Amino acid sequence: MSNKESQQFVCPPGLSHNSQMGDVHTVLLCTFFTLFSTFWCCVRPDFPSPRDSKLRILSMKLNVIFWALVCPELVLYWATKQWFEAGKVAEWFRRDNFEITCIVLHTDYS
Amino acid sequence: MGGFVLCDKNGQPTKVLTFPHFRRLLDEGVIDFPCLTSSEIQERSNFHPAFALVALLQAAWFITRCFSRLINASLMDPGIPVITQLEAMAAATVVVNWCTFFFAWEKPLDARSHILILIKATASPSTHHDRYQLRGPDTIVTEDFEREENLSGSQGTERRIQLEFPELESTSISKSIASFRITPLALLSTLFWPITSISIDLFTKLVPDEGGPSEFPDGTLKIPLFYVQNTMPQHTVLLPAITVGAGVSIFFLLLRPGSILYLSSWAARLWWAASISSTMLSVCMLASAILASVFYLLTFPLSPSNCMHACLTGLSNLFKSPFLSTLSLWLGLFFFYRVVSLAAAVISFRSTVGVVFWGRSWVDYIPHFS
Repeated sequence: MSNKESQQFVCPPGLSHNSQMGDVHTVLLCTFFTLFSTFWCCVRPDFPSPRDSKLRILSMKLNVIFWALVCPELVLYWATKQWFEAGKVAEWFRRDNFEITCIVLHTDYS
Repeated sequence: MGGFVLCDKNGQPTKVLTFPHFRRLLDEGVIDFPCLTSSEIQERSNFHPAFALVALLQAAWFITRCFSRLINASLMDPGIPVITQLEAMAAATVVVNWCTFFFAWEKPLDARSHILILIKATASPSTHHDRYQLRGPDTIVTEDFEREENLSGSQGTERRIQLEFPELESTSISKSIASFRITPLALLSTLFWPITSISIDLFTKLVPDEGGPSEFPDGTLKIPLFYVQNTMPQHTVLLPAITVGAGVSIFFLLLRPGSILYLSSWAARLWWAASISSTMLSVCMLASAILASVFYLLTFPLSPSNCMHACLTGLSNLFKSPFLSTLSLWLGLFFFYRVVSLAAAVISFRSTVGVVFWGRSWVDYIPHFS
C-alpha cells in the first residue's frame, strides 16, 4: 500500500496528527527496546581470547546479533548443538569425578 | 565453549583446549582434573535473572500486542493494515531468540575470565604427545615482556607469540596468527560463520572422519568464533531448529496481505517473494530432515549386521542429499531476501503514517517500556 492510498483514510475524532506521529515513535522505540533487551539476554558468544580487546569482543557479539536478526534459526541451531554437547561433557565430568571419589575413598579405607 | 586454556609452568596461557584434547591430556596424566563447580562457572557470567525477567515481560508484551492488533483488525475493519513489516519481523525474531535463550540459559553471559589448566610439575614435555614445549628462563622473558608493552596491534601480538613460542620463529604459524585480525579473508570467514559451520557439520556427517580435528594448533588463543564439538548426531539438533525455521517462514506467509503496511508495491512483492522463498526452503529442508531422521531412528533396534539396517541407513543418507542440495542452492537467495526484507522493513517504517496506530488495544494498558 502506498502513501497516497494510506492517506485516504480519515483520521478518527480525538486523534490529532501529533498523536499519530507520537504513536509511530512509540512503536519504533518499543520495537527497538524489545529487540535490544532480547538480544542482550539471548545472544551469548563463546569465551573470547585472553588477548582480545574490548572492541573485538563487542564486534563478536554484534556479529552474532546480526545473524540473530537475519536468520535466528541458525543461532538457535548453534545454541541447541552447544547445549547438547555441554550436557555430554557435564555427564562425563560427573562420571569421572565419581570415579575419582571412589578411588580416593578406596585408598583411604584400605 | 573455549573456556579451558592450557598454561605453561610459568602460568602463561598457551592454547585453548578442546574437549577431546583436554580429555587426552587428563588420561595421560599431564594435567590435573580441575576443581570446578557449576556455581563457580556461573559466577563468571554477567547475567542477572531480574534483567531477563524484565526482558521476557517486554517481549511477551510485544508479541501479545502484535497479535492483539491483528485480531482486532480482523474483527473490526479488515481493510486497514494494523501491523508494520518491522513489527512482523521483530515478533518472529523475538520468539526464536527466546527459544535460543532456553538452550543458552546455563551458558555464562559475556564471560571474560578463563579456566586456566596448569601442567603438572612432574610432567616432562617428552612424556606426552602435546607439541607444546616449555619456554626459556624467566628473567629474559620478563624483560622481553616489559619491552613488548611499547608495541601495539598486530606487532605486539606477533611479538608475544615469538616470546612464548621461540621454536616457531622459523615457521609461518606465528605470523599467520598475528595477522588474524587484519586479514580480509579471516574477516569474511568470521562474518559467514553459520554457512561454513553448518556445511562442515553436514559434510562431516555425510562423510564421517574418525580422526577429526580434535585439538587446535599450538598458540591458538583465538578459538573459532562459533566452534562446537562435533560428536552429536545432527538429526537430534538439526530437526528442532529447522522446525522453528519453518514455523517462522510459515508465520510470515500466513500474514494476511491487508495486515501489513507496505511502503510501496515493490516492497509488497519483495515481502511475498521472501516469504515464499524462505517457506519453500524451510519446508523442503524440514521434509527431507524428517525422513532422514525417521530412517535413522528405525536403525536403532536393528543390529548393524542386519541387511535391513544397511538399507535404512542408505535411505537415511539418500534423504540427506535433497536436504544438502536445497540448502546449497537456495541458501544464498534466502539470505539475500532476508537482508533486503529487513532493510525494506526499516526503510518503510519512516513513511508509515498514523493509520496503523489508530485505536488502542487492552494490551497498551499493561506496563511496558516504550
